[in-house]
Amino acid sequence: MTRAGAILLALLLAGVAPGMARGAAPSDAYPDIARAYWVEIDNQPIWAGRPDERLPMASLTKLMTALLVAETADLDAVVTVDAAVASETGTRIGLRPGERVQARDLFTAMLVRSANDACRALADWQGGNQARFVARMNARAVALGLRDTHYNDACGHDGPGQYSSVRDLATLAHAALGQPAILAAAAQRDFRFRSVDGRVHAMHSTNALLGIVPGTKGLKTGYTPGAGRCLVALAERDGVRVLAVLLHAPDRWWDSAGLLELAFARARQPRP
Amino acid sequence: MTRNPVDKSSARRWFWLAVLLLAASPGFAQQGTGNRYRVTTKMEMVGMPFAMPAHTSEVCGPKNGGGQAMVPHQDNCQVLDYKITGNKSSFRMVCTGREAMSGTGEFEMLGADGYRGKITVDMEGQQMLMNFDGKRIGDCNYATESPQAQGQAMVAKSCDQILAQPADALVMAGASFASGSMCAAKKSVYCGKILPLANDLKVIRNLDTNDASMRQSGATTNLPWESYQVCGSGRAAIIAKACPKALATGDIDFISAFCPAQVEAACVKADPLRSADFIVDHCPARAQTIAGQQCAGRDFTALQGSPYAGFCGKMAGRRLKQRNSGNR
Repeated sequence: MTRAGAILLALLLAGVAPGMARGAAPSDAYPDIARAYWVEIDNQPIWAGRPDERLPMASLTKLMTALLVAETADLDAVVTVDAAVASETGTRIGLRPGERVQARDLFTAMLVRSANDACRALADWQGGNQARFVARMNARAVALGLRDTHYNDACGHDGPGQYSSVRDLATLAHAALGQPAILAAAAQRDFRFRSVDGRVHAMHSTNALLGIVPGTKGLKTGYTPGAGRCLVALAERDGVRVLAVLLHAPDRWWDSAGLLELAFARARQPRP
Repeated sequence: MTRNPVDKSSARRWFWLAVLLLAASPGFAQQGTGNRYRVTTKMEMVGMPFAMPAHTSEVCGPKNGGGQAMVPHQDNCQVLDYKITGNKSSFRMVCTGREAMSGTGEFEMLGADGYRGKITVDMEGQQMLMNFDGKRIGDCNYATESPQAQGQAMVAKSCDQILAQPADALVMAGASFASGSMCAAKKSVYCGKILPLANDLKVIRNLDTNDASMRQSGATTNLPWESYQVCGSGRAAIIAKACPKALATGDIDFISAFCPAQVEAACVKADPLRSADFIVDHCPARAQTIAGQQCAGRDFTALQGSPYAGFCGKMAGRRLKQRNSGNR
């Protein structure tokens, strides 16, 4: 049995993993911050608005892509970029068909720069084609208990059947945080690599919180015209971890920075 | 009926009072300031099939007895019906409170250098009987060797040990130095040690934290601030004295926690790069001024590398909170 098969079997034998507890009732304290949002302190939800509404999630999709790749792929392998990659739109790092790149570099570029061509190259490499990889993404979503999530595209382009909820994205983020490779990539503000063929690719992170909001560790940004400005933010200070998910946030950076500060201030309050 | 084991501390107390009562009896030798006796004591619980092994010790009693006043007893005990008839003495004692008990005692002199006696104690329905025989073996210095003097020396040693503790334990020990307490005689020494500690802002913070924590746990005695009340001071006075110092040294955290009267003055001096939380939370006018200069109208990414990034983030939180003030 292949490594991928063993992991899938283990997941299926373990049954569907429950999604984020639906019994908890976080308060809708900041309704104007985004069309939907979710905030946790140390895994306890405190604030949320429309937590189960199905909305387009743009490149937050790449968290699932990254999770599958991290779980099943050999990141030291060399990937040959296929022709379909050239058809990718949106944010790209300029990969060329036939270019040979280490999988780890594609993985990091996908998370740091939200590069769609790097994402597509990984999806095609792991799935054989995008459709088969997307089927694995949906299977993994079911296994994680993501009731309000479905994928049609591996990298987050808008389309019918491409949606998630902030509650589901928080659950997905927790799964992703179990992969050190994802954490390491998400925390990088700048990334530079050289393909096997000698081409240099340099890029800055799309996550503006890194280096500005103290304690920021990641995690993923997203934007499409349909999804608006999206974000999964992760920050840690003095042993306290805050996770925030925003879908369609009008003032994504200022408001997420403010939201993180308010969450940490609340964490400092003495408990009754 | 279940019999509890003999309470050694209670029995020991009755033993000493018996010895001193003996010293009040007639017939002591007059050499030295005190008489040294070898005393054999046997104790048993009435009705129990066994008795404790006999115990031998030496005690120093006064040459000239002081009568009833010489009977040592705890504050919760009273000596009653003390009588001397010929070469015999008798008394009653009643103790109330935590170690409530009552008893009777008898002593009989056997010539110049010996005596015998017994004490019967009733404690919570159980009777304990103590028989003792004493034989004079020489002189002693009653002033320093009597049980009372030795007890006082032990107390003084305990008090010195308390005084030698590190600061964080010392500030919890005020009850031992309060008027009427074990170490009341050393109160001035104790206060001389703990009062200067309260000049340190860090110590004040720790005192307050520990006091609050103990109260939250249900403690009602030996609280840190009570120790300062023993010394004529207290939380309010100490903090009132500390606040100007906090302002002078720029201890914004202390001012924020303890000194509302100094907040306005601190707002003028606070450094937004070090005390962003304080300015944002307590100094709205100054916060707005700084935000206008360093944060407002800027693209968020322009904060990269700015020393005011932290301040601007906290102001963003404040704005978010104000925008949604009716929703929490």
